[in-house]
Amino acid sequence: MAKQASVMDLILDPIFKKNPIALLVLGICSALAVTTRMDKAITMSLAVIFVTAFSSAGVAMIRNRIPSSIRIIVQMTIIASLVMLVDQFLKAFSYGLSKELAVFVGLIITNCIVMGRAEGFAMSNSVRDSFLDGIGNGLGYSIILVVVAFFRELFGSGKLMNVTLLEKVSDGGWYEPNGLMLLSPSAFFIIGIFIWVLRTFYPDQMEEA
Amino acid sequence: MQHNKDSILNTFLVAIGVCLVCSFLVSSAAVGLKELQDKNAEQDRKKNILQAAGFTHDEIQEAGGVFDLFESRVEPVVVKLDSGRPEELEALVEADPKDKINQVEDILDQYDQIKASKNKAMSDEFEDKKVDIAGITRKEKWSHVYLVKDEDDAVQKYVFPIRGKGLWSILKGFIAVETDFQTIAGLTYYEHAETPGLGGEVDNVSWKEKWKGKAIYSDDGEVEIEVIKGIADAGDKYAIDGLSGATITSRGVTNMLRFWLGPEGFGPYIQNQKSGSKVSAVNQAENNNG
Repeated sequence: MAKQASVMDLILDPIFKKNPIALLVLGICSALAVTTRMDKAITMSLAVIFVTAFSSAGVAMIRNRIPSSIRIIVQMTIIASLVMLVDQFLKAFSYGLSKELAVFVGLIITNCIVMGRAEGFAMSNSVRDSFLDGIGNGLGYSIILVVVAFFRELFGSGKLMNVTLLEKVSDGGWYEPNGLMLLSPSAFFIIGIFIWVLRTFYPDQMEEA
Repeated sequence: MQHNKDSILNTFLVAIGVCLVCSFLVSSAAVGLKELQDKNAEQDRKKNILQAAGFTHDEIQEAGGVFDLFESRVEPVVVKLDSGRPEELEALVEADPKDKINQVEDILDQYDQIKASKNKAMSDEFEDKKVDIAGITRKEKWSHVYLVKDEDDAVQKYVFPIRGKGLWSILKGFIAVETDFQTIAGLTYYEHAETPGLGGEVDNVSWKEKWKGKAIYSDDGEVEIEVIKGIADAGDKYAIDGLSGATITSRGVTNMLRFWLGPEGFGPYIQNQKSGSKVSAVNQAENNNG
């Protein structure tokens, strides 16, 4: 019997020590797509936290019954249902954002982080641990999204959460926005710098050259 | 339990069980939230009508929200497209398949022209496929038109629903024109699935801004406005900057405007309004003389 991992470890480890984006480089696609604005990134983060937590818990709940021949399909079914739930709720309560996130909410289904935790962790751990692990990994994904969105929105459009901080030249201010920040490559640069900083603090994350 | 979980029976049981639970969850959410979602979609559509007509976000807020402003400043009418008059509405009530529209009074609220375009009794197929430049396959017989009024109840702008094929999807939106039926007041899209960042830039605020004040018809009455490739000359009142990397979406926008503002679309309605306003101007002049 493996020793029970502590709540804190399960939640906090995936944020910096084992960050799914920075260490495993999973889930990059949506990290590029939804990070032009903070509100989009935060909504997306909440959706992913919800889906990873409950799909991991759901998979863990029936892990001893899932036949190995169809286990991936079962996981996919659970994940897809949860994503559709999230999508329905967004459409009902936050229509504007759901329109802007559009296809990327649906694409949480194919987010490798969710699938990776279901297959890699929830299939062999208790419901409680899987649930917490799901929250932790969702948070790990979120922190990158929020950091990336912070820089992209601030330097790309001079705003944070849609509130203007740096007055743009086109609106009569002094700030010339950096258009690159609104394009996808800038997310790569920011994620790259994030990984660099992270690996300076945790040298054991560095790969052998 | 452990030893037989890979048996065929168990595989079926798990598969069926998971499917049942999941479909129950998803369908109950979909049914339970439908009303809210429909209201949101309705609000979004009306907001787009108002925005096409030039109301800003702040103005809408000040007026007490989308529904209130729409109620007080927009007069919706339903017109027969081929004649351009609000007529044969009894036939519309008759043709409505779901019996949602029971009387002529229900039409303004309940008539959904996009659903109607899929219904045989309420729409026509194109006899000549070349006419269907917007790529919509069937054209509904009746359409909404939104008359945007100022505070004194005088019509300021006309907003027409338009739709047409882009690259991946049918784009649905509104075009607002001034009362001269020549100057564009605004264009918005409320639904499309074009590539984000390329064709999806039809939502770009500064691109939409370029439409204001452009002219629609050439001197001989053809729809002349066009989304061109590259940057339009500043003095060219018929040209709009192309969306870079989105040739097909840009062409789709041009085609749907040519279709809906031309004789197949709102052309007859626009002709009626023009001759109507001339008649009333003449009357007024005569009255003044008398």
